[in-house]
Amino acid sequence: MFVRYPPFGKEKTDYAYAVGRIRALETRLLDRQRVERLLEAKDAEEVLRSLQDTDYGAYIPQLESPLAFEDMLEAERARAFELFEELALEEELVYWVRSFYDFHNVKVLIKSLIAEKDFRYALSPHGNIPPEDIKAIFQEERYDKLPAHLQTAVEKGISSYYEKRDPQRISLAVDQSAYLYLTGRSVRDAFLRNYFRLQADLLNLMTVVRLKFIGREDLIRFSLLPGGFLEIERYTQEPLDTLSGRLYHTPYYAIFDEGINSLRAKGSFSRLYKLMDDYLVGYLKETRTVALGPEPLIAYLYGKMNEIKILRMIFVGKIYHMSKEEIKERLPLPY
Amino acid sequence: MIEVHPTRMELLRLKKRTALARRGHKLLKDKQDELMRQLMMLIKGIKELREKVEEEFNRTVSRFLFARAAMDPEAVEEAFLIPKKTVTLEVGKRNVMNVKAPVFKEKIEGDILAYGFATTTGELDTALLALDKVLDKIFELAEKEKTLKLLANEIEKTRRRVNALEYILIPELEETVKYITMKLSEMERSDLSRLMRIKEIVRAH
Amino acid sequence: MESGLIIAIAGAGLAAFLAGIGSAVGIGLAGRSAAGVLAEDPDKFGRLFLLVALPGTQGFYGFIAALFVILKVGLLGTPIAISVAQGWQIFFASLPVAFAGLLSGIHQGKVCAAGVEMGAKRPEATMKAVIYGAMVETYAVLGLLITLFLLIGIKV
Repeated sequence: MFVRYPPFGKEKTDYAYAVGRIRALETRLLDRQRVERLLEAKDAEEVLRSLQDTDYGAYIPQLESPLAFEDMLEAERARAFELFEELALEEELVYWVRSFYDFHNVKVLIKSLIAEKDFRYALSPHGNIPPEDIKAIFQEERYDKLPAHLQTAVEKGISSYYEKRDPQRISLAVDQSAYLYLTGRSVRDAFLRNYFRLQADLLNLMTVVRLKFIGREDLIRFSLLPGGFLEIERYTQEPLDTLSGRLYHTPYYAIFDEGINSLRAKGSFSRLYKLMDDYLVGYLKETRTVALGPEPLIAYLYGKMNEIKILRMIFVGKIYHMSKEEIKERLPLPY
Repeated sequence: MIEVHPTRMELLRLKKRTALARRGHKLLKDKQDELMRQLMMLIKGIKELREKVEEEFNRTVSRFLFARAAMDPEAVEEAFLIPKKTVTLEVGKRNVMNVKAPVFKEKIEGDILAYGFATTTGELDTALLALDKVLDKIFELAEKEKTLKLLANEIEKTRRRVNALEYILIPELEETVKYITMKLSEMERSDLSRLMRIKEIVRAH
Repeated sequence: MESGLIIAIAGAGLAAFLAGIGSAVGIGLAGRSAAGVLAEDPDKFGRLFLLVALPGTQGFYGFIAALFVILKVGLLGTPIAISVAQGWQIFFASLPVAFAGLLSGIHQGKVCAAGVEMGAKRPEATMKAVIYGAMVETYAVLGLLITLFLLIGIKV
């Protein structure tokens, strides 16, 4: 097991231009100081005003009110994807990153099928297959048009639903298929694949903690994602108070030691999730030393998404008059 | 005053009616007092319950919304596409001082956790479970507040009837009784004076 | 007698083109990085210029070494008769600058590219990046010096 983070790939000199651009763009990301200042704002309007001179400023005039901040965040996410697509030299990188959203759409469409309702509003436009097309595939039942990894997901999703007529199983099964693909050999960029593998480990541990906390351990065996670095099965039987101890030789120890203690003391997952998010952002930050390769691009994309999450939490916190400490407790560090 | 012939029979009848009205008035007043008492008890209970429910509800809703904020919006949508929870409400009745108050029996079934765990957070779990608990209290509050309203209506009705009796019917009856009594005694006196004159006339002969 | 000359010329040519390649690749890397930065921040052109130009020196060193060989064997006037052994001596003497130039040029290019990327975030620190780049320069210079010493020492 690696000490802190898994390694990534070799140098690719073709990325010199792309990395140059990304580094220049990174100066416009929100850093800790700016995030602190946003936290000081007294309401959502003030947050919006403070964002005027950032990348988000361009979208502000089109917002009807601060309550529509999600539109702004979504526009920025779309732009980050466009940039990624523009700069990535291998189309497959873009394909792998977008497949995450294909799996999401599969989940939505299977549920549509089962409930016999139209859930098109829940579809994501960021997948490789545009929403209209994938919707048509499902309507015409032409699943052979889907790539193999999505076909498997559909099969698994539908069959697990019918085992107990439980719609929850759809989500669980498709998520498993998603991570099987994302952590598998098809994703040939080491950094990206390891990012998903870390996620798999952390999400699995999180799921174990969650289910034990609310007493639904029966669901554990359906909810574990494949592809992590850990053999997660070894930890599922462990009671919460000793779980972190068994992770001692892994880099996840710090997260779960402090996190689980906080959970048991305060009944809140805030600290635990913050530590997990911070760890993942830390992995993104490891690309700081890469001058020639696709890693900084990937890190920028996911760093941007982290930033969007931070902003969303700040906005919601301010709109619902949450205290600064409460918001800050949960806020991950920016990339 | 009531239009009657000033006869003894009428007087008797009216006196009976007055007594009845007085009795009815007392009964209604007692009912009113009892209803008031019940109302007061209910109000005290409701006030506490409402404060608690409002505070808890606000807190759980903001917890829920904050938990949502940590997730991608499309993941949130997906998580709640097919909920597994059903709530059925049975409304029964019980009698409180002749007021038909509702009794809520809610049947909440199913799992509130109807979503996958890879794209959702633990905070969502705890927020939804807290929301679950608040739901129980909300039903209780609704039941109590409806009862309150019905009681209040009943009190108002009773009050009006009490007042009608106290300020309209009974005074009218009493006034009529007085009138008849007066008229009767007048007639008696005029009879008496006629009788005395006839006696005089007869004696003169 | 002529074959010695061929070998000597080969050495000179190698010095020139391998070192030249080193510079070309190096500047290419740094230049592309800089282009990326400038796409977002055109004002940084001045600051980044030195970093982009720095890997260019190896090409010059190779040129100097090749010129030295040319003058030594008198190609611009009347060529001196060079034995095969002398030819090989000249050939091997040219190698240090050739290979040092090639490899240090490429690596200096990478260092400078990284420096450019750092400069995107911290423009005030570009001089530090130049210093790092210059450290790689040392080995190119050493290569040139050895080549020149060797060439001077060869008796024709």
